[in-house]
Amino acid sequence: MTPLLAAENVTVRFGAHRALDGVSLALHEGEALGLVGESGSGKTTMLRLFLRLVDASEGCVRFAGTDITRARDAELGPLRRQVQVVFQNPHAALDPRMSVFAAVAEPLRLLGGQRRAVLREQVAALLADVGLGDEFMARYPHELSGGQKQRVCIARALAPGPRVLLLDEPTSALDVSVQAQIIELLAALRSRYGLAYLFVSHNLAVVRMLCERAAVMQSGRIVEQGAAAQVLATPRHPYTRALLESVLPLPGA
Amino acid sequence: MSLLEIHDYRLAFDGYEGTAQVLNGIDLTVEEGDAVGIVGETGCGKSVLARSLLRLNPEPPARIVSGTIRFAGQDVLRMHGAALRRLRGAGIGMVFQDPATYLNPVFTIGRQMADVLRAHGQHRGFAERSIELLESVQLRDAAALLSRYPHELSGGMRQRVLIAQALAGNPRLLVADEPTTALDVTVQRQVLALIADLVTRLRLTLLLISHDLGVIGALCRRVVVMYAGAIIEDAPAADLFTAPRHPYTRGLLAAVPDLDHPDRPPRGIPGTIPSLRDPPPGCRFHPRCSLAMSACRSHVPRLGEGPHRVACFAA
Repeated sequence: MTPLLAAENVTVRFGAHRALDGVSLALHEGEALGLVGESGSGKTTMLRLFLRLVDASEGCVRFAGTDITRARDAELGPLRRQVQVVFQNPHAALDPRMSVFAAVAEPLRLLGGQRRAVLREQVAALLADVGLGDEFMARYPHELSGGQKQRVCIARALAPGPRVLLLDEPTSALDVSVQAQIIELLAALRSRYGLAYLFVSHNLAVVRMLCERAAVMQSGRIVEQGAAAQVLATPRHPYTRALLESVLPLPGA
Repeated sequence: MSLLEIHDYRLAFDGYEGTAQVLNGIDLTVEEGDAVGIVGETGCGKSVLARSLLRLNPEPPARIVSGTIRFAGQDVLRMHGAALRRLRGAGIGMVFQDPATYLNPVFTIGRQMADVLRAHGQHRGFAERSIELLESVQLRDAAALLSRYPHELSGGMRQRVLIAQALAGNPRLLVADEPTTALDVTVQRQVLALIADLVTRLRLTLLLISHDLGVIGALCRRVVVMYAGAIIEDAPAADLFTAPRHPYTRGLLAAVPDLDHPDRPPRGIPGTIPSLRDPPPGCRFHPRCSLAMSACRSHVPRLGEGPHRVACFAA
């Protein structure tokens, strides 16, 4: 089966530094793949590569089988619609001058000129999907909590009807009680819409909870990948073992 | 006499949009040699409380409404000038969350160590004492480090430098506010081990602030849980983690994803934290609490006395 997104032997150089060093990774339709590793390991560069926000110095990037390594903006239409992204810090991801309605309606408007009444219905449906009522439409980001902002970001990402969500530490800036709500929401959305997730996180427990596959990155390389249950329970690579040993046990559990 | 005694401490922040009751009647006693953790979510007041011990909250906008804070018998809230300077660093040493922002990027580590030593009344021998301090936080090549700049150090090394500075005045109490939150997990493990080692070796009393129950559990014998500006539970660590009594503490523990039990998905606490400018009447947790009764909506539950204190009518 052709993967939805694939990197084949990709190297990304920033000057003399190799942010990615000969990496191959594939994300298939409907699967959730967790990408773990510490700061500077290349997780976010990997995600930006799939968005074509950074270019591969060597190697090949494919979307649904098509080589998009050097594709121009005009050719990237399907990628832009079908691959959406949710960033780490919801406080910085929303325009403070746009209401929730405007933020969620923007991608819908860009897709085609719906009438305002239709647009309103669509926005309401998207907000309902992420557990926010109609009363949120008129609110501005400063009136929302961190968890509510992240829900708006997820609604905005769902607006174009994507097949893939690239999630860059979507719960790391949130409190633990709110993090759990967002994990529940992401799991529910995935089964409802058959979405594929590329889930970047340093939290191994969250990856274990949400993903069936996991890949471990260190210094721009993937050092281990496989079933999440296997990689995160009986790791083979010493770096994965070191990562797991660093996880503080939950007291009393 | 206990090392730290806080009684009915209330702190408000005055702003354009009204007054926020940030700390609402804090009662807390810390014995010399104990290791106490304060856990809670964003905005619960744990950092403001930690900073209160050193009077680091700028007044205004902060305003002390009532209460006392006694450190080694002295009233911190009445301190000024020289007494306050002695308290900071020589009585209580503090380590903050983001090691990158607490070092000045344009001065060498040696210069910044010397500044701290000078503030503690030392006049010469800065290099020797700096090297000694940097070695005590297990930094290798301490002598060479003195001529380096902060950007040449990793996050873990910077945090060790800041811990060395916090120890420069030989404090009795070390307050660490999210000391490992900005660090990677493998580095976090090392820094926590260092803090544990220093606490034993220097016989320090530790007050550790964190949102991470794992971090608290790794270092603390006693845990204080805060919610919306108040202490809602205070218990020995073993009791708190195995037999939590406050519904919020239970919710907090159930919300942490457990790597070893992926079959037990974490459960969130419904709702969000209340506004401190317009908090709900009665127990501030009642709008999110599944056990809330009518008394919870009108009366504030008291924390009570004893080794396991809990502020809840239902617990």
